[in-house]
Amino acid sequence: MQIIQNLLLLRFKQLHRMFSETGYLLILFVLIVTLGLTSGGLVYFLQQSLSVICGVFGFLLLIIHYKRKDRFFIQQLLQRRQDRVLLYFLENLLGLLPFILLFGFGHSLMVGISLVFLALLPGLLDPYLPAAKLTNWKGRFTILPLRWFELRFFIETNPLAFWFCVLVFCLSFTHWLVFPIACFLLQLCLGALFAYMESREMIKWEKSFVLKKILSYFGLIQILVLPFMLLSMFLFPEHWYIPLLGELLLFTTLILLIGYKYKEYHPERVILGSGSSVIAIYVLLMYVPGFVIISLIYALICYFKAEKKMRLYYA
Amino acid sequence: MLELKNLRFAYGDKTIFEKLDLSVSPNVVSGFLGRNGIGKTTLFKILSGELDALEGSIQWNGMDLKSTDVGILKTDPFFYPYMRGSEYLELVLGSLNEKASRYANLLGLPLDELIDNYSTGMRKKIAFIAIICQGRPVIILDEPFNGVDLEGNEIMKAILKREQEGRVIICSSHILEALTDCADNILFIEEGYVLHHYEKTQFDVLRGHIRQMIAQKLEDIPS
Repeated sequence: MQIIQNLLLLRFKQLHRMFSETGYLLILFVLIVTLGLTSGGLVYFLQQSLSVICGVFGFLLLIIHYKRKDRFFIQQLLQRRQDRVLLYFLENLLGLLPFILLFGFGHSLMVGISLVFLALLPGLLDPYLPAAKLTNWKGRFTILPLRWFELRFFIETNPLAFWFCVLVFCLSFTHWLVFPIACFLLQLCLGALFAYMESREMIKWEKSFVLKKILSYFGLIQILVLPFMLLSMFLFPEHWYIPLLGELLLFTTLILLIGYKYKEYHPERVILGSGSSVIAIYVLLMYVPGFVIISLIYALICYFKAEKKMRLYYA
Repeated sequence: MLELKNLRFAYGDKTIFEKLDLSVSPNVVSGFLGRNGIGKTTLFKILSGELDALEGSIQWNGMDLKSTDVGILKTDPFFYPYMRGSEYLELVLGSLNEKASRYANLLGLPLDELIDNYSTGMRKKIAFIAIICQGRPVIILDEPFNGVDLEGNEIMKAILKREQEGRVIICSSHILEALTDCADNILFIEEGYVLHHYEKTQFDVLRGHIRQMIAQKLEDIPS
């Protein structure tokens, strides 16, 4: 019980420290902007039936649980299965609390109660959910050449995220909104691609190293994006500019991620590159009308600093 | 006594080991030695319950080994982000006890700092303290000395010696000197999971065996 209490307390401390580091004001601003942007979708979601809402939440909870990196650590900490179920239940309950309150008091008490029970689901199904890293299968995605090792490594380690993205892109013929949603998902996934720094020996430097890297990756993701962009433009000509905007956002994200990674590069240390909350905020800002210019300017600053740093180390 | 009987494991088509029988005695530190990729970490993962063996059984004192009997220090230990050293020890141990504080002090760990700011060696040290003070009967240390400074290495070896009573301690390392210093016996794993057992008095034979193997390899380097 003491360990569960410590773990839950730690969650609050982690949040406080993370928010303090990023800045409460900035977090509040992004929260308001995100809520404003997604309010339409939220209202639409609130009007759905109990089974749809529970299905979506259940799916999301299981995906999040499947991707948790601390499952083995928790298994080692808490000897009894009941304790683990209780911990996962309490954590999910805290995460779902805003929605439980929203549904319970605002719309449907039944949905609120169902969400409380749904919080139990990941803990109960935990023994039957194989964690990606706990299986005896070591996947290799050999179709891609080794020089795109980041992309290959990403697919090998995050097959679920990658194939989900592919699936959403494949559905872009159904509605004009699906393509930008797929682009947004891809933007979220791209961060993991540039999270870790290479060692000095792995970098084959040449002139305009960062620019070539950006163009190489932009070209590479076109294999996935371009056919669906053209398809979306062809099927929904009244919204022809939306897929182009999606491409622009993807390109800006790549400049941001690669620029930031090499701006922070250190040849002797393996440090996290693009996994920071700063990047997440600049990506979200792209979705505020007119604010993409701020993200673009920051991305370009990162890019120029990155080229300068790489010249300093290698030229 | 920790006993592995008829153990088999494979990654897809690639068999790591089969019909593996092994006994590890308590009250001593047992060293595991073998080239990269031979399957030491895989065996440790099976012992700790992270992976399931495809066949065979693992017993601790005649009973099936439970994952909660085992404390494992991985090559890359898990830490939550934005967590202080003291909070980590509190989490693993239930509360920060005197022994853990003393060991942390000996190893020069700033417990009030965030673990995110710790170096590789410091991360190894704090995970080591947590595993040792947890009091589990089977302790697995996968390359505990990597990245740890010289002084830290010596202190960790001394702590191991002090804590070995009543426990099985398995320690793997590629630093032969570190392993021969702290282990009472060494299991040398060769290609095909062939096991060679060396007692403390036979460590010179082991060194000779390894030197001979390396010399053979060196001859293959093109001039």
